Amino acid sequence: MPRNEKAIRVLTSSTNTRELARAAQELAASADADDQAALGAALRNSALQARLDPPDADYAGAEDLNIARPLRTLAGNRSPLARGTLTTLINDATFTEDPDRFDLLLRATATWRPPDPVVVAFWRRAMDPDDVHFQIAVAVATENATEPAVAFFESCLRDARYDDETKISWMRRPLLMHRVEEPFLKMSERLLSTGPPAPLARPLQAALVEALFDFKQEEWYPPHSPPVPPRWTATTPAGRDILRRIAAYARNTLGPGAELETAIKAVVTQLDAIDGTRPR
Amino acid sequence: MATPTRQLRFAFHRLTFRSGAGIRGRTDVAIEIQVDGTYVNNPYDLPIQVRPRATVDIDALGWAGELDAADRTDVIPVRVLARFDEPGNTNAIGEITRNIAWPFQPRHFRDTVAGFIVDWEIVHVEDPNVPPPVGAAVCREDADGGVMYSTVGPTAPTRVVIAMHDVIPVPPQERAPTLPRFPRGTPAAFTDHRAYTAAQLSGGAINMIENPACIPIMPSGTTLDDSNCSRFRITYYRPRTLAFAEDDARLEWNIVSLADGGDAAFHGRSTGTKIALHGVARGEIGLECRFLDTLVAQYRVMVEPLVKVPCRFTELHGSTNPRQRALRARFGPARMQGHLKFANQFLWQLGLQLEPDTDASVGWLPRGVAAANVQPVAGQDGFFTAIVPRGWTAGFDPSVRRASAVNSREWVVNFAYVASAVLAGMVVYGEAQSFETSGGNVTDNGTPSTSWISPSGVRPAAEAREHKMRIFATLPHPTLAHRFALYVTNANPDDFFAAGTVAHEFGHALGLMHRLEWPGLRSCGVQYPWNENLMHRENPTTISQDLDIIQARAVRRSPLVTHWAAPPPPPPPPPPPPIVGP
Repeated sequence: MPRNEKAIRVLTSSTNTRELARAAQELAASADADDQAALGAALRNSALQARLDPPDADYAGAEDLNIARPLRTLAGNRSPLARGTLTTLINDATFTEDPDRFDLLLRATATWRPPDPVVVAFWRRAMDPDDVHFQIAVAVATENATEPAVAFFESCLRDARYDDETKISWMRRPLLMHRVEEPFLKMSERLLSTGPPAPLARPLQAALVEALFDFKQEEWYPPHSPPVPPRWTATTPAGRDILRRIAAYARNTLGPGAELETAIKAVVTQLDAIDGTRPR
Repeated sequence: MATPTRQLRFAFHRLTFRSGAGIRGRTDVAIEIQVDGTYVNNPYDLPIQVRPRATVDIDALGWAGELDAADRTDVIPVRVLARFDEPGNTNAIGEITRNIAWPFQPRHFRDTVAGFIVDWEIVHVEDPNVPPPVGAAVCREDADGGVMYSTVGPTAPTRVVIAMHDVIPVPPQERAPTLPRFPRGTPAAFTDHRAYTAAQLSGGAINMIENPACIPIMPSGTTLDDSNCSRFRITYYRPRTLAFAEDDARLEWNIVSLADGGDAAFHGRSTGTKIALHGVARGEIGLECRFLDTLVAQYRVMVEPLVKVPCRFTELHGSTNPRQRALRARFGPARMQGHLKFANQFLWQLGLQLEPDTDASVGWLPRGVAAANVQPVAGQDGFFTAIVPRGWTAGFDPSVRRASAVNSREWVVNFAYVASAVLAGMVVYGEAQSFETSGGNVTDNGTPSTSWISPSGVRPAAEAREHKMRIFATLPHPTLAHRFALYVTNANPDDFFAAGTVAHEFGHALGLMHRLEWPGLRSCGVQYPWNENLMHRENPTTISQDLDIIQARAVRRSPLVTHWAAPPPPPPPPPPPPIVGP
């Protein structure tokens, strides 16, 4: 017996978009198997999709759609049943053929920690460089910030299908936003080390070091795009050691110019100050 | 003598959600408001559905509290809380608590937390049985600081304060000057500080926004009339029993040249709470208002030639199928024209106008896009539709893919309407991707100070100081010269919001930085007003509408503006030689 019959009835019959969205959210928040099953079936139903978001309704992008609301609630519901509903939707080719629903599902996986292999596979499906989803997939994976997500991000940075400009933009935004977190610092070290796998090409190595150490607000970003770099005080002792190793590698191997050299030195000085040690 | 009333009304006007609320799409929220521990609304009412950066019209909901404070000397707490109200999520968005201290003066507040801004005020409910004092008859200037007095009624003098603020909407802390203090029992003030609404502007003239930073000089040959003047209005006076009319002969205005020979001429009368002027000679002028022969208000404004900057608007579609909404720009040429009009209403404050490009030739296109994919909109100069690969209109990173340059021409401002752009953690409404600027700093020095930054120089405040503002460095297109390329996305929830995006991004293209930047990022150096400037980093058009004199000064340095400015008039011919008689 479904726990929330009223919500299920609304989904079956209502044409009031707000009422429909609310009912769908009630089911999405539920920990009841029948509620989740009913929701999964309803969201995959094209008639309900059309009642929830009539094609002629005002439209301001994917996140403005009413169907975004139950997906958002599902993302916040950590129960395995809710995750199961998301998996059902991910595996439904008809549901994901719509670019908006695809993007909304991607966004719903940002808080799935650690991500299920199904989720990582879904991110990989999004990585067609000629399509419109790969930037969202990278943003979602870096927000997820777990080891599998960072591994996925690393694979993107190594992927030959993307040009250097795209990879540098990933270094200057999602990586920079996480520059104090150990998984991202370990990844950065792997991308610079001799491998295997092979390190990044030298110009990309230099760009990576620059992104970590020498934030250039007005040179790198249009007015609305600069991220706010996290403070170095948020690093762990192990993270600071990785940063020092990266700094040493850059100085010894990459031949940084005077500007980058100065920036690296300034950051290392800050790291040393955090540790209460003398400059090395 | 009647006992002064202490009946207070706490009127809550608007609550505007900010990006810190974390609202990314249609969301149900609840708003709880308490005055002195008592709810003024039922927090268990049906939730309110909002969109990102939405403004909730609380006036329309009728939430206000009244309180008899006659015997109160303790603080009166006011609390506004907004929270999500959705299944599975009732987290707080933000909370504002203010403790209002005795004597509970009438005041406006615009309280801000990361998640929202709330506009509210304390109003003294006046006893209808107490007759108002009679109008002022005589006025004089106080020797120690310019405080104005007028003889009101038969007994004691009453102070008079009159202001024409250059920021509209007027920042709350300046809507009711705290100095000089008025004697208890002085009738309340008249204030006219509201922001313009979409409905007002959509039906209004291009020069509707009052108290601009610049009065444009119209091109020679233009008939000077109502449609091309600059409008000014008094924003505050107390006591309101003075009951000034728009054409009140008691308020007399005159023009003084402040710098570089600036001059303007009244359009129509030079008296009253509302006046209009046309620019005559470039420079800086002051407007002085006298009440019964005494200077009571002053205003500083630039006078510069009107500059018309050509622009083109191109909708980028990644699919020819209208059902593929995720891949198509959504507004359409008619609504985009409306955005242009709104934007020009804001830009009138700077003496600038965007003018549709009359050249219908196809501009720059990405590789693989044929010129035939770009079609001018019939009968609408400067408007186009283009079919492009889907990645040029949806899901792109603005640091990488310069979609805004599609169909661009040199020295023509190019607005590309796209489906969506992606930046981690943000809803993207628009961006200025490529522009050229003068760089450097601009300074402004005068009274009143730009945006009345404290000290404003408006007596009794101290002398105004010089202010310095940074101008953006050039952000060049990697391969194309002289591009001023901007985009606007489908995420703009309505036309007024989108128009604000158009005007705001054009401001960036002229070199203007955000008036208030995120902590941790470099800012322009001028951090005031906090909410009302059009170049605020995130506030919606319902609040952020003003452009001030230092910004007007900055944009005149833009290479785009100098490129399109008419060449200065030739120097006057030498005077004829004197006629010497026989």
